[in-house]
Amino acid sequence: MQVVVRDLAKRFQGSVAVDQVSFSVEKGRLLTLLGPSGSGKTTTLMMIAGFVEPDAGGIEIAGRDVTRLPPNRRELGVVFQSYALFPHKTVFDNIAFPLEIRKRPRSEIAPRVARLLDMMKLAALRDRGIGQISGGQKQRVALARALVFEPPVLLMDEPLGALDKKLREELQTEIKALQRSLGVTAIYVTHDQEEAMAMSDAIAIMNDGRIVQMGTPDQLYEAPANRFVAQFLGGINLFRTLDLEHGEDGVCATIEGGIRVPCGRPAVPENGPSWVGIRPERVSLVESGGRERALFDATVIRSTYLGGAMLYILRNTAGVEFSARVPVGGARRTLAAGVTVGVSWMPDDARLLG
Amino acid sequence: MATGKHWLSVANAAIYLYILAPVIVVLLIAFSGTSSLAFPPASYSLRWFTHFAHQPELMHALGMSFTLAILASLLSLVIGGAAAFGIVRGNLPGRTLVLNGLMLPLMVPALAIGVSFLQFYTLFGVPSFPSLLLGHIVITLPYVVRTLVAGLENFDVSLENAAVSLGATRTQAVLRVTLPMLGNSILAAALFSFIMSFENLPIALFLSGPSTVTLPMQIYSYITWVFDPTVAAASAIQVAIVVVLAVVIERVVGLNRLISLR
Repeated sequence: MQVVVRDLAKRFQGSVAVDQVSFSVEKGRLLTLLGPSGSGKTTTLMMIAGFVEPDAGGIEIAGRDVTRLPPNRRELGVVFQSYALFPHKTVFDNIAFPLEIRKRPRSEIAPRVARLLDMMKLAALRDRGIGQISGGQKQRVALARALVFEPPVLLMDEPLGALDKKLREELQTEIKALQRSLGVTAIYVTHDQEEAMAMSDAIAIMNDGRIVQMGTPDQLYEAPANRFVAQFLGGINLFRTLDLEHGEDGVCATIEGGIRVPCGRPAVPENGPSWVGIRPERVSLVESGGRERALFDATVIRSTYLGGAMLYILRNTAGVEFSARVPVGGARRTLAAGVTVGVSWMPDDARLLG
Repeated sequence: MATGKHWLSVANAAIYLYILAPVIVVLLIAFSGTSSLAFPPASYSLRWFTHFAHQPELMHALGMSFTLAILASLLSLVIGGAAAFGIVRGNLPGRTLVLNGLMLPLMVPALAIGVSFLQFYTLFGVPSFPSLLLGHIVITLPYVVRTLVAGLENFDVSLENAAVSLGATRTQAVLRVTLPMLGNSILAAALFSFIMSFENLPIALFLSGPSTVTLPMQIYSYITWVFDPTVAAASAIQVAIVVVLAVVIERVVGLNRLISLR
């Protein structure tokens, strides 16, 4: 394990910022701390970086206990949300900074910086001032500067937060490829769930200072531990559960309105499930009273055209609102508001949530 | 619209004239060819500058004012810089109290400061030059603290943290990142201090000794005895130094701004 974090805790003026946070990251892997703002993800990262002193717990990097070590002796590459490039230095001098501080000879600095400039497609900008380059270029410089001294671990705090969507997606791919090819272990902080899904080997979802669930992106999406994870990651429709029967074909839940829905063989939460959850893109809409058997009927309230798909907001007979994301094209006709449709889903796609 | 703008520039010109006219009068008299203070001068010459240069008391006072202003500015920068760091970065409970305390010399009349320093330093037998220097530091400190506090508050701490994460010690980070980036504020603070010290009369009035007479002090006592354009020449030299300093630093700070901030 390249990074091991044990029972990290931090309070700010009496309120809990981080509590009992533990995780580990294998060499060469990218772990994302994902959560809403105020969930403690940045505080956790800053404790690993050494800028925030933990009240309790320990941090190990490459087998070395760094909990009480000052940040400059932890040998971590850190990329800050605001880029934190030195405005009084050129692109080249920014990237050379960590090597100069380490008193490397000039003859070594120049080729190492040049290599990163090439790798990050920045060679043409080497003598530019920081004020003369774009946001995406700044992010590349920040990344190059954090990697030039070959730290075993790279920490990134919402590095793409200030960029527009297209550039963000481009850089996600680039950062991921770079991290892979250099084999550097990375911890990435973001509140953007799509970004977390696209980049991570593993994701730790945080809320109120704690890790709620940790796993690979598909584990978290397919088997969310609770309502928070399911809603935060991708969004989910929730139906309050009134009763649960365990039958031969699996579990069958009775939801509001006395509607019975088969749920396959899902994991049943410890405290008893109170919700049936179904992802909007796994809801199918069929002709009401048609040949395909529907679980229940619902009325379309409004629809939004998303390009590749339609997002319908519907209300069932019990008055519960939910959404369905249906691909557009082929023989499918779009549904107008007020139309009544049948609603169904594959039993295995339903989740029982506490 | 057009007439409105027209009137605005007329008002502008009037205000500038009101501020600058007395200075222009003094400057012209400094170049007078006669020994009267009449304006406009009947003829022009450099004789009063030569006369100034041949007055050992005035030359000595000029040197004293220079020494004092440079020392006061440097010490103010060190003390005020440390204070500004403490106020902005430290976790002091009495933060605003300390800041207001350091600003106090701006509100207390300079004569009152002079009198109290005289009594205080006499009590402890502090010699003339150190007491004069301390007095000047007190009046220049507010300018340094105010400028540097503003500079530090606008400074993004993550830049310093970035330097530390890249291997620099906190001291290295401050020396290599924070201070160079605060260059403008530091220059401005030094300039303010220098000018404030260089022109100050009230402190010198009380704390100057026979060997530590400053230029404003010497000019002041000169005109009580002699009434010729030498004082105008001395004033012209004072004005020239201040203006040159202001222009030089405006250039440097302006250039700096061009390089560092977009």
